[in-house]
Amino acid sequence: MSRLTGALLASFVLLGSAHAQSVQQTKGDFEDKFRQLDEILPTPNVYRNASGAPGHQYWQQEADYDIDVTLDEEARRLTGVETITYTNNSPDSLRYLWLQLDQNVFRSDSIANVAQDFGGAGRRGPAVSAGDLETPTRLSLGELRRQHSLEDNEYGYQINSVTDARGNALPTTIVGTLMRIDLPTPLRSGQSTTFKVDFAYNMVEEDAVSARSGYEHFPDDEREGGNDIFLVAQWFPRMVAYSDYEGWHNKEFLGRGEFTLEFGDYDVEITVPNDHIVSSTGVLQNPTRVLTATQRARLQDARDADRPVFIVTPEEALANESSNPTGTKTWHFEAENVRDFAWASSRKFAWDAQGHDQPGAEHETVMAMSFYPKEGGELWQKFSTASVIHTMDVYSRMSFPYPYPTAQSVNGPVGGMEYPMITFNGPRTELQDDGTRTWTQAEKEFLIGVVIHEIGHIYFPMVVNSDERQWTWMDEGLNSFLDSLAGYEWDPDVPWSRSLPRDLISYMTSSNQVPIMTQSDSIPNLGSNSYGKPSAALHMLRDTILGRDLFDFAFREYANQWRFKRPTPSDFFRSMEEASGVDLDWFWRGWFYSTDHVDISLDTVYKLRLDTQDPDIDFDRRRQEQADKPDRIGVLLNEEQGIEPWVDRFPDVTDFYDENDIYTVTNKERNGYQSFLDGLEDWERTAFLRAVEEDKNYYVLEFSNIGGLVMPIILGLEFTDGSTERLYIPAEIWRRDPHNVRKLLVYDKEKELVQVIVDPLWETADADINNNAFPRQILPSRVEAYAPSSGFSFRRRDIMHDITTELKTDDEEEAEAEETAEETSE
Amino acid sequence: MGCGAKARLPFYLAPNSRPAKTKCNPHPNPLSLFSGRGARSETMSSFSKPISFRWLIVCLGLACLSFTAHAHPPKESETEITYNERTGLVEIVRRYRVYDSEEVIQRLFDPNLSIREDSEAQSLFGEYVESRFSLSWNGAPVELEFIGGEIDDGYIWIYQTTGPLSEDGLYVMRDSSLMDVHSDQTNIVNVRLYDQVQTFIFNRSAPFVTFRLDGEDVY
Repeated sequence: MSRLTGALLASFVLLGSAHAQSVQQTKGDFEDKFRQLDEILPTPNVYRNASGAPGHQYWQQEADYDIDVTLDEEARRLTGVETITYTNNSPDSLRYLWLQLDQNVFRSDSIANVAQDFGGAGRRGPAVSAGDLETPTRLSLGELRRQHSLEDNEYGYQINSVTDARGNALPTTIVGTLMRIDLPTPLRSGQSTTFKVDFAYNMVEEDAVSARSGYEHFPDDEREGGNDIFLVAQWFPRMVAYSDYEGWHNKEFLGRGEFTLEFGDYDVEITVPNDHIVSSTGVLQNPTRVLTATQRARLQDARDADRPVFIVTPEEALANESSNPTGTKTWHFEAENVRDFAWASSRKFAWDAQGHDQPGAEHETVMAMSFYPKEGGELWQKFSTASVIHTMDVYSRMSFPYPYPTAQSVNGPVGGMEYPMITFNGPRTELQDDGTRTWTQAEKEFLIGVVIHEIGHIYFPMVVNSDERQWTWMDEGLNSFLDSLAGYEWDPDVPWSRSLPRDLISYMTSSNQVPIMTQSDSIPNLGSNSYGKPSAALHMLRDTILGRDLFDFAFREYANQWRFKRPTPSDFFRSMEEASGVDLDWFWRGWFYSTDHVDISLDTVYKLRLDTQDPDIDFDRRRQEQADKPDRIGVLLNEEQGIEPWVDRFPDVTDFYDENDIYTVTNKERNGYQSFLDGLEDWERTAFLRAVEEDKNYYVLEFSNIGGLVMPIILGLEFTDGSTERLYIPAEIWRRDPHNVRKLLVYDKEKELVQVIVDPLWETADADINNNAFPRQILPSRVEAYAPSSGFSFRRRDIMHDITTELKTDDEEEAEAEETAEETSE
Repeated sequence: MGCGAKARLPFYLAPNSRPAKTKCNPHPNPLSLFSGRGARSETMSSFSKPISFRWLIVCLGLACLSFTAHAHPPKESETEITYNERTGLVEIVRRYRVYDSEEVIQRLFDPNLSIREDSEAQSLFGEYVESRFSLSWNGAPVELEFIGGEIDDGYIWIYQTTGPLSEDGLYVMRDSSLMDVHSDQTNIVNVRLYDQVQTFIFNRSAPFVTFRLDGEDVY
């Protein structure tokens, strides 16, 4: 029996490998870069169809939450009770449910913490002692702080109880960041179940632990003991997604691959100290209980304002900083059709808001709002809410109208993180000695950039619900592409870097990289791999390969058909192809499934001229070609030496051939030409004579593909008459030979080529532009081109701060000099 | 002819004709890759330094919990190390995002410095990067010359050069730049010498690497 099992297993293994290599090229080195992706993509079915759209039996689960949560400010602890109503829309019966316990990632025994690879990103081999290696003490401080924080505090969930609707305890099993709940009876298709989880946990200090949420302490605030900002996210046990293609998405949270969740409705009551301001996913249900009449009136005014209106002014926020709570307040929020819920709370928050109109949309007025402490200051006042609105303008045009009633940007310790209707963003101002707050240009650019990025995430993946735990690129790549579109629409002079093809060359030519289609936790350079490279690819697809009309139509199709649904990579690839009408399998294969890079070399250019076959013309040309050749070096040296050729010494001895060279035309050739013309069919003769008369310039361009990635060849052509031309050769030119191709170009007689440059506008991430120009040009390296005069003296100081500098008088300078001299002598 | 003017070059039409040369650079290479083959160093001393377990232990102590969060792009820098045949020098071109570099000088030196607007801040950052990057060959430091740097295209670029690097021998490279401020900093270094690319990824738990240029095992 066991032998039989073994044999069966072996045959399965063989079948598996045979399937993986079902087509093999065993002769020559041909590689089909245009091979269709259908062997790689999952087989279409009734849930996901072949056009990349949800299938006619598409389903997804629903998880509705009713949560009461209390923030203990002193203990920095959350306690809550959630009632989850889970609806099984799948065709399957479920005997157990899985919940995500993301806070458990901070437990010292979590897989994320225990499975840290020492020196994981380095290369093989042990380290050696080297005299120039600095002592690592300084490096370790941040890590030590984190270790201390984890040692001194008990992190992770305390699950007090899990009970069914009647209060009976349900059996649970915790597996790392996951918890299984065993149901007394299977949950049938179409049925719902309700259960309750009583939980608590200690919040992490964000700056110490580096998470997506946590508290930040401000010890210098006037209030005794200082103040905190609490950013609360991934805070309640959440239903794990259950899908048609993966079943339970029960993959351990390792800290990087973020999450995917189910859509549902939320009713959340948040109890905080009564001097706090709360920003949250959803819409506030009890403004009369938590806001003053003035605040409510301001909020109303903000709906129609064309600039942000303060609900809590910076002055009021500053006054609140030294207040002490006299009790608690419960803020009640409701949110419909969201896949998660986050909030923030602090007495430090100023709050501004402005209505954003979307005529005809489900939410015709969206409240764009920002919450920030004095440390965010005027930088936030000017640019946060404005960036939120700009994001909605651009993203809605590229996808669908913003689908929620609020869009918020909250300043706190998290550099940048997104949740439905609410985002956390880090940039701050700097306090000057005179009490003012200024910021640098880089800080401003970062604030605008990060707000656009995080608000953009409310579209991808908060509404187009891709699975970031598996595929970071599906939201980060698409969102980086869109945030740079929005960035360049904000100010084209700011280099919104890292998302254009030219930014990715270093990464794409590195030896240590993985394809974009790699699971999130396994990617060494997430920034370049999952943000930059897919963004660069989409920029090319839009501006170079498909054109904006086709791309935008296809992208909107994808966004709209997967709005409030869960797409996979294949759904994206298929949708873009279906709607654009362009076969893009080569593009997905090269950019998303391979580690090839782009390097197209223009190896050479030949010029050809059509022979007329008329000996009276062609023989002259041959004679001229011969005359144009340089003299033989030996003959030249003979001349130099004064060696006189025999024919010059005896000029009287001549014959027929001195008068008639080898290119002399006789009637024999002329008769031959006539016979050639007579032998042609009429249509052949017409074509031939026309071509002879036009005497066009024929150029053959030879290209080789060094990087491996097949791409369109974009040529910048320059002609003798000074005119220039852009020529786009579709990638399909490489279909039969991915290594070398030739292209024939024909121009009128007077139009001669001077120069050809491949990819003159740097559209394709071509790694080596030394082989892009013909004739070749010597391009200096960056180091060679560097001129000290242009380096490190780009712009002048922080003008906002320096403008306040008082002009020194001569007397003051002298006095200062004397003072310094005295100090030195001491 | 100035670099602003378009080159009017004779267009050689026959195959294999020599291309015309110009010093103009209408399309400066964004990263100047593939400059050529690294040249052999003139001397070669024998490598006999044993592995230091003390060092290994120090590092084990550090290899702790670099749990990091990414919702915005993680902090990464890119460095290209290439041999320039024209100058006979190995060029080290490093690139950091402007904002990342500003955070560093503000945290470590002066919170009022602005990387875009203060040339002193840029120099300070250059010196800082210099102090966080080192290369040794067979246990001896490789002298690196700091050429300068500039802000361009959203990045701050730092340029260093050194003489030709030997194909033989054992190299140790350390790049801990920005790691003392950004816990999730990753530095990618592409070493393009002797007709191959070797990419090293540095982060807090692996701030240095041992390698050879001849493709042999480091053991």
